[in-house]
Amino acid sequence: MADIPLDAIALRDCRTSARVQAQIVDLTRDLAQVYIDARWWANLGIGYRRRDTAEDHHWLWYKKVGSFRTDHFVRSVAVQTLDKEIQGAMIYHLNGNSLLEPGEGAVFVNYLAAAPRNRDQLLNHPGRTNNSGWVGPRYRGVGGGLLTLATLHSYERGFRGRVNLQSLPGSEGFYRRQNFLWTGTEVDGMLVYELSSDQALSDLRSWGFL
Amino acid sequence: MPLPIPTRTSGNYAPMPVIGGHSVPSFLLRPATLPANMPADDLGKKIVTMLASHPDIATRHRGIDVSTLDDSSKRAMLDRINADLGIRPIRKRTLDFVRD
Repeated sequence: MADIPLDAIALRDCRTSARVQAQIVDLTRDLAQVYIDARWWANLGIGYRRRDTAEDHHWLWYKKVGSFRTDHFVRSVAVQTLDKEIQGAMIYHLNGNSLLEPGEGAVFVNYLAAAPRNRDQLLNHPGRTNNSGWVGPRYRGVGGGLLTLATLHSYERGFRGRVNLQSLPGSEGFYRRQNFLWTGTEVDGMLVYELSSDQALSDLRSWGFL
Repeated sequence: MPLPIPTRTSGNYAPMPVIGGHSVPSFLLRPATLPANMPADDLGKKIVTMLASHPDIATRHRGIDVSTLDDSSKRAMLDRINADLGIRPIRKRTLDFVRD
């Protein structure tokens, strides 16, 4: 895929513990409408009350993708498995400002979500049932894979891997686990986290990208 | 030294990797001016947006209309920009382990 520095990521299939490869694809409006907006929240085996605890259950990705399609600094990407299903999506900006290193650039992740079928918090609870009998998440590694892509793109754009984002309250633990640091900035109750250039470069080296 | 983080938890479950849905404050994004004659190809667009992101590098390439360059000239220009910014080629295009 042109301009995107990562072609594929590894996921863990939680039912079999097998490692599978998923492609990074351009997230178009059509793809978003068919494989995210129409499918992510259908047949999950959870009730409305539980669904409503997810901050993104009402998002329409095709509209979000459409609103950025003429912005030359924005990329919309998705993680797609062999069965064509979208396991996660991200919209990010290549013209972000670093808060940990003022004056420097960063990639700013505006939207990121793993498919609801891949979320512990939604699925792992007593009483949940679905047709397959499996009650846990389907794949692991979607969010981390997408953040790796953002970090690589930041490096490739001369921002030394800096990536920042505004975390929703239920997601902060995830970003801390990925070595993001709180920048000391809070906006509308959301904390702004950033992956420092030192951490990013160390990660990219140890993972064999540099 | 990392700042102490306000304590907020996500209960007994793994936190969800979800962000977005709120307005983005202007200090998080850089306003960038792009030329009116934006190149039509991906390589040209990459060069133009990179120059817009790095004004100090852009001054070294002032006066060049990227949209008029052929492919090999664009590749040579991108190589110079990458060298100026200390960007080395990425060695692989696959994340081959599960980053959970």
